[in-house]
Amino acid sequence: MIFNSPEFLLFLPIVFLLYWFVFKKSVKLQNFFVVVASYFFYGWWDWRFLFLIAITSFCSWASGLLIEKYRASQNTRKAKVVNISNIVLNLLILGVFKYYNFFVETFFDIFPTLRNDHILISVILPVGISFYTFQALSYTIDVYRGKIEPTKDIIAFFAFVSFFPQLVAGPIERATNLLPQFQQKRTFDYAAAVDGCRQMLWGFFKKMVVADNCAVFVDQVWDDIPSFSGSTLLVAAILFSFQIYCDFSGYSDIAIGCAKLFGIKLKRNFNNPYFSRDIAEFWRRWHISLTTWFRDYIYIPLGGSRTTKAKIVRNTFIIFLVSGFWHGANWTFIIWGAFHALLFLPLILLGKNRKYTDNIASNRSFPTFKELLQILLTFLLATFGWIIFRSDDITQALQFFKGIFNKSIISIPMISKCFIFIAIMLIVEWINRNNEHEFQKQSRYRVVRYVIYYTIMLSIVLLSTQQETFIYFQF
Amino acid sequence: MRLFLKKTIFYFTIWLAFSTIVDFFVTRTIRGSSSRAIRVWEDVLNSKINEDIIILGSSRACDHYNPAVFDSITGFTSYNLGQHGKKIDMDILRYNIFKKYAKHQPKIIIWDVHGQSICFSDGWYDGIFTPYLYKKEIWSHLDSPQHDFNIFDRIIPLYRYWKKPYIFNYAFKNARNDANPYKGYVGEGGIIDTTATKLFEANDLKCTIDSSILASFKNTLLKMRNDGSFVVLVYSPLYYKGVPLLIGTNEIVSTYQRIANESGSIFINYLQDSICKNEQYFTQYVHLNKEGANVFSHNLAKRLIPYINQQ
Repeated sequence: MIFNSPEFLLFLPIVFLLYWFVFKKSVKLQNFFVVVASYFFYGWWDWRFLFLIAITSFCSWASGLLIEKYRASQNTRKAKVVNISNIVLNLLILGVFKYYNFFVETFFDIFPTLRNDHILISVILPVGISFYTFQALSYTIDVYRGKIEPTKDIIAFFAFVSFFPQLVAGPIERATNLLPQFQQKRTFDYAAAVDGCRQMLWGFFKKMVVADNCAVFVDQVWDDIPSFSGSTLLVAAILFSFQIYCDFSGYSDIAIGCAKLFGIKLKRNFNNPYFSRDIAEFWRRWHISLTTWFRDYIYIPLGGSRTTKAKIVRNTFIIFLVSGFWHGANWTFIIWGAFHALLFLPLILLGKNRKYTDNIASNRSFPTFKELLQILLTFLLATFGWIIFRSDDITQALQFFKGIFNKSIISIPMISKCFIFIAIMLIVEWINRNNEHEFQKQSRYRVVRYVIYYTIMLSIVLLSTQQETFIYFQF
Repeated sequence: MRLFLKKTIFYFTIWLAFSTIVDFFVTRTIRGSSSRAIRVWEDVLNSKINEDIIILGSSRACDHYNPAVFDSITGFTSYNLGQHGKKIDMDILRYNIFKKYAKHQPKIIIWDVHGQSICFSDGWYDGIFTPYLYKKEIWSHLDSPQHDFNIFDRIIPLYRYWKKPYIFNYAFKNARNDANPYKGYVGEGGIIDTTATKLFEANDLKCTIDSSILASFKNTLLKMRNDGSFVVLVYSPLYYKGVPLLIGTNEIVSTYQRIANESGSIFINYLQDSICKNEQYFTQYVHLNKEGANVFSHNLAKRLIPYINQQ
């Protein structure tokens, strides 16, 4: 089931009413209902996916208890074995479904004489597998590190892994944040619920008005690159930057807003990344839940940036390549990761990767000219990376770059009405850049609020295209 | 919680009222569009089509039959009721709706048929029906899985416009090239690019004859005859290089001939006509341009005169 579907519009109020009116008697009952509703939500895609998420959840839950049992008996070696085994098992499941054919095809590309198509497998990639696998792994690793006590409550744990608002495309929640919320009683918070509804509304606007309309132009161009001028290709690349941002951050806003309706607080996943002044700041603001996951569970254990320069280079490349690879089984994602690693390295080697940790122009209405140039440059660099990310393969990416960097870049491009939607989105985001989300602060005049909300709802209804899926569902 | 539920219901009620009003104005604006697709339906529903000759069919009917030529040659009035992207089942819908609102039965019905007309119909270009879903006779035909609508489109205000931008394309974007029809006809410009290597999408070549559509087709032809109309089935010109690529043409042509014989109609096949060899007459492989449409309409109108004289 996807958020922008009629089924979800029916599903959400029913689940909301049952959650607060029927199943509120006990936390266990409420959690059980969350699991049932979440499995229904997930099974709507394909009921066969439910076995995988159940296996992942059970293995991680059981591993947590075993780790604690061995640690309590001072058997740290066995605890380590359990932790590693759980990691390997979960990554194996992820690897088979997501990467097996990629590795086999790559092997055949290198050794064509050994090609045997019979060993390729025909498999559907389960929606959201990368997200819930990492979420479950974070639990067992945190238990192993002693950051969180393992839970005996299997229902609460299953609810933590499968909680439907963030199940298929994040945010990737940490057990330290989300699991305790399922272990204690939730009370309905009127202000949070209203705020959640506003955040969902803004998320739907970003996804259905901005992202989906950009997608129409972007798909048209990417389907026939040679037919378009360099300037139009550049326009398409820019629109894709906004498409992927609004698609993904829109989903996150809907997920976080929806969770607020159930008394659950999820972590912020995007913090106006296109207002970043350099690439390091961009990566602190983009897909925060994933980048912090890689930082905490891969980068820091490898030594992070508190080591020799050679190891910093190694660690940076590992992180970005793994991040690229996480997105999908294609060389374009790996090259995209490497591209960002090359952009990030100079900053970290010079110790300038934490130069901008505050919000831009936090005490001013407008950025300075220098800041504006920094924003534009960072955005352009990110856009070049997105060209690689969006392309079907390296050949297409090179074709796209070749198409941009020739004489036809000095020509009048095709323009899309999406720029109006993007301008509205950017203005709202700029004005609210210091808030938790773009719709947090509202006018105190009821009429103004009504006009804004209904205008947005009307635009969602009348300006939506036929696009349905979210881009990050494929990861 | 009570306050939240009360406010939600209150907001929803206001939205319902607001969206009903907006739906009314959006529908009215679309129905006022000058695009051909909308204007023809408006003429049908407002009982403005009372011509002696009507033309049914898909986009090939839309583009190939110029009523002005038929009017001048035959002395009868004519109207082009062709619909883009539609097959015979939707032609039947068009005819039934037309018949409900028309003031008298047409004397001659020209029905353009081709290799895809009697295949399974998949709801292509269904968006054109969006402003008309409240019409029971149209809704009853669309309420099936292969079409793009469900009950919520009919009962919830504005829902039918959600994620269906193509209706706005029909009404406003396409109107630039397809506006202000003369009796349902606008015509296409341009000349075919014969250097193009890709003639059709692969799926366009396949046709599995749908037996239920075939049965409905024959029943409708018999009904038309019983109502007093003379029906002419026409396989209008196709650029000759495309003909060999169509799969099952002989079977389909013989099916049309058989149906015509059984229903007391006539079938005229233009696939071997000299018009098909002249690339100047085609805008692409399956559609005539305005010049080709005038030549074809002239030719067909002349051939129909003996039958017209019998009416």
